[in-house]
Amino acid sequence: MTGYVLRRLLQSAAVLLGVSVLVFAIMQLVPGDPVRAALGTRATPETYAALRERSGLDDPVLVQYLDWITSALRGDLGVSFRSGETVSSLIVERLPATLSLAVGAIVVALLIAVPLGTLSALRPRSPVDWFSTLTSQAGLSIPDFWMGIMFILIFAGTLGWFPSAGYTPLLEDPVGWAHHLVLPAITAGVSSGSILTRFVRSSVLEAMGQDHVRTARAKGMRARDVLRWHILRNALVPFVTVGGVQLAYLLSGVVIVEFVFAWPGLGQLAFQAVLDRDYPVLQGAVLLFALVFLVVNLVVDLLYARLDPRISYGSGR
Amino acid sequence: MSALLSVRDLAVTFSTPRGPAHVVGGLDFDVEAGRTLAIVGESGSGKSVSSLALLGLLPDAVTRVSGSAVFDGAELIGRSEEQLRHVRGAGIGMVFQDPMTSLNPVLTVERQLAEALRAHGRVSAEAVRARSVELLDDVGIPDAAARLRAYPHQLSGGMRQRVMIAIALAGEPRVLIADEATTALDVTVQAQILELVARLQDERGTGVVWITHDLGVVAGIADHVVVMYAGRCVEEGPVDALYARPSHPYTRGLLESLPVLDDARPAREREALTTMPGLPPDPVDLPPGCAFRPRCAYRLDPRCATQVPPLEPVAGSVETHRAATFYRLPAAGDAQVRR
Amino acid sequence: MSAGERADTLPSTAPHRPRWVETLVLLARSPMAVASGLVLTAVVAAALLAGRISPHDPVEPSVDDRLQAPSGEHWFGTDELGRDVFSRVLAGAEVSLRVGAVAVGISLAAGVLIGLLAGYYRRWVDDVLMRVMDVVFAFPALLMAIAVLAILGRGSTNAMIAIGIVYTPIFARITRASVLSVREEVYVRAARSAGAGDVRIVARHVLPNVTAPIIVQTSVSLAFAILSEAALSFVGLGTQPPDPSWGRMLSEGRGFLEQAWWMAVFPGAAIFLTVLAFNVLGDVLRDVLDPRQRAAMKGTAKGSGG
Repeated sequence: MTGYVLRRLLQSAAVLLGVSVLVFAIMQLVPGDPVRAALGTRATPETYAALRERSGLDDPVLVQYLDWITSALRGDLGVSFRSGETVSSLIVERLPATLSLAVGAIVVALLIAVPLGTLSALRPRSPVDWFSTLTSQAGLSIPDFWMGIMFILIFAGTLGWFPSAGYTPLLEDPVGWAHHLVLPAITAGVSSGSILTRFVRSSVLEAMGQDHVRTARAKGMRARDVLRWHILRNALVPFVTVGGVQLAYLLSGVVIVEFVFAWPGLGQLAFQAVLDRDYPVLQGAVLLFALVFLVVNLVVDLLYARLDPRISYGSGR
Repeated sequence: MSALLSVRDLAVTFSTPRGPAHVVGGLDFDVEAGRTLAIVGESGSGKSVSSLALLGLLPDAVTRVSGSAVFDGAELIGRSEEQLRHVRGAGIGMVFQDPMTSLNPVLTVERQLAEALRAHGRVSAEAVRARSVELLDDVGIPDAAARLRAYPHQLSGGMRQRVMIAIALAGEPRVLIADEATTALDVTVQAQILELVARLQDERGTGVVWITHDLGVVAGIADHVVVMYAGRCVEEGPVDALYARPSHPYTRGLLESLPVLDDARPAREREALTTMPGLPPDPVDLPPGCAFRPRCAYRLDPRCATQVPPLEPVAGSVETHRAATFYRLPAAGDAQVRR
Repeated sequence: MSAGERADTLPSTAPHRPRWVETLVLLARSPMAVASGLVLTAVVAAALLAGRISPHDPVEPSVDDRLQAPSGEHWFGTDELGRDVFSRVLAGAEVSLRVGAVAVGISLAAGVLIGLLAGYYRRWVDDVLMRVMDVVFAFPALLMAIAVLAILGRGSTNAMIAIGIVYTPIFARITRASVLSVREEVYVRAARSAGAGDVRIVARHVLPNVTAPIIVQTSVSLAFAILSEAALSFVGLGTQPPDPSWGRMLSEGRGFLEQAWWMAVFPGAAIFLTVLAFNVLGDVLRDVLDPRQRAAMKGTAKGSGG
């Protein structure tokens, strides 16, 4: 088990290193002079030179990378060109909004996927199954920005049930937080929910066909216990992987949904940084996304080993 | 002696995309307390399906079961799921072929045993624990208390099959159906398992149905044998009579291709030897007349192609020895016909 | 049953209809496939014929007709510059399909090449290429596309490249997996021992075996590429004005939600339907091209004796 964890940690570290090189390289490739962009054209040459110097932009590329990565490892991701705040403080500031949205969306996704996927697997080719297939296709195909706009049009505009945009911190006003969260969470959760519905269906179908389900029934167990302990419990094992990927995706800032609902999350931060050519912020945000992705994958793999006792004893996957 | 389980005219049909598949047709057998009935046939002969059908363990949506199966005075066929549930485990226990896949890989042995113990009424946690240890002891698993915490993959094949048997015995069934229960095991372990079942049968007076493709196994343990081909019984009788005077060409084929008994190779390799040329017929498209005719070396009678031969007493054997063939054996003593 | 399956997975030499004809026949029997085929035909027709069939000029402003509700004259209403939304939706089909097709073409070419190299040569080629794909895959897709557009600059051409890069790893993974599975097949080993060159083996033995999953993925990727283009244009990075792109129209319509719902409803519905059609088609293709499913589908159609 320890060997497995260690190996997975090393693998993740290697990918993260690759990501950091890639992020850094992309930023080197971006056309335009960020210092000029940050200061505007009317800055004096002295100010300009000073900021370039301070940002280390005149050093050799390798030195710049090493500087950046060593400070990043200490949690220092540099200073935003645009606002002058530290990147880490900008990220920390945006984190609660993104976490709220991601958790809300994954809850919506699970509420859709687990019942719908299970029901359609239990009754393949029934009307429930057709309905579930159709809705998950639709959920996968519907543009989230359009769905968001339609929600705003109907539930915020015409019906006036929910606010059309904005975010209220949970600790300040829990009711307002929930009220603001509903529409964005549904919008962000539907596509993940659709992907997960299909996955729940296929995992449950596969679990149902296993020999041990027949054994369980032959013991005289109640149908609902067989479902709970021999079908759903086993379907959970593969489900965790795909569920984890969806969570990572939602945590990595749902750029478009945040854009539509003016949600002050990490996706918006990164997107604005692209438009502003705010290198340090963009680098920091992207690095964070990659880190989230890898950490979630790592946790998923470890959870996988917890859920399936066979994994930890095998010599890798 | 009256039968614990009495099956008459059992038929199972699956609906498939290509049309109805007649997997079992008109099967009769009786299981008596303390005795062993062997059902023998190739894979696809319908032997496993018949036992699953009795307990309603086939997928409802695509299965049609007809006929009668009386267990303990009550009809099983057509009973509700909830009524059948009470028979499963408590009345009729089952041991399946592959103990690797038939046990849930993500649950401990204890949990899976406890499920069987709890399925038919409330039992206290301590009682479940004590009974679990006792059951594992009974099936010859050393250090039972420790094994309870193991997952199936941590046990050897033989140990897993012992666990399967312990699970099947947990509900104290009066009939135990063992479906190819030793096929996945090597010969030594197979012998141990056969011995175990025989011992438990003696102790408890359980009626045993032993489903197998291996006539070699049958000789040692069965009281009565039913040979199945293409969903029908082609020959049945007391084990000694059947071995002394195999009357259906299929039974003869099986016996002729039987390997020596102390063959040390694993069961799967031995299986290859015991199969004869040709394949069983497609259950969706059964040939007219005798289903064995395409593979039969003795298909001389013109009725072979048009009528299904009825089960009739074998001349010169005991009364309960019957075979379904138009072929008549030459006089006793000249049974060695070469193909 | 088992005999039928075996015959189906072997390279067929029997004088049957060609495989692709059979595939089409099976597709034609699926109502879902027919429905999505009809939608896609309509979209392609709109893309090709927009110039000739659209009732109004999609680009030229007409101040007198601003923000008119749907009517007999303007089926989908007009936008804030008085342009006919229906004509713009028709014209948008061309942009969406072109960007989607080129982007998927890029992913397909790059991904299949990378997957073939990785799967066929294994060892370090495999390690290097697939780790790079992992890195690309580790980014959220849309953010990756946005970052690429930040380097290359805005516009629909760069959007194609950005989307193409983002979806390359999927094709690489699928191709590699298929190559690995056929690589050790007897006939491939036989060809190699008979002295056939790598290119020949790949072209004759490996490629034909990876086509089925790739066709399915192509259909699904077209759906996502169109969705991505719309999203990029929606945030202002993709297709630039005055070209009518569905995503762009939607973002313009967003500013007029209260006065003119039709500006946002119709372009979004167009995206939705097109993407849905590609997704459904991909799904049906997956079933039709899967040998086991295929046998079952043929069975249902022919009754018994198949």
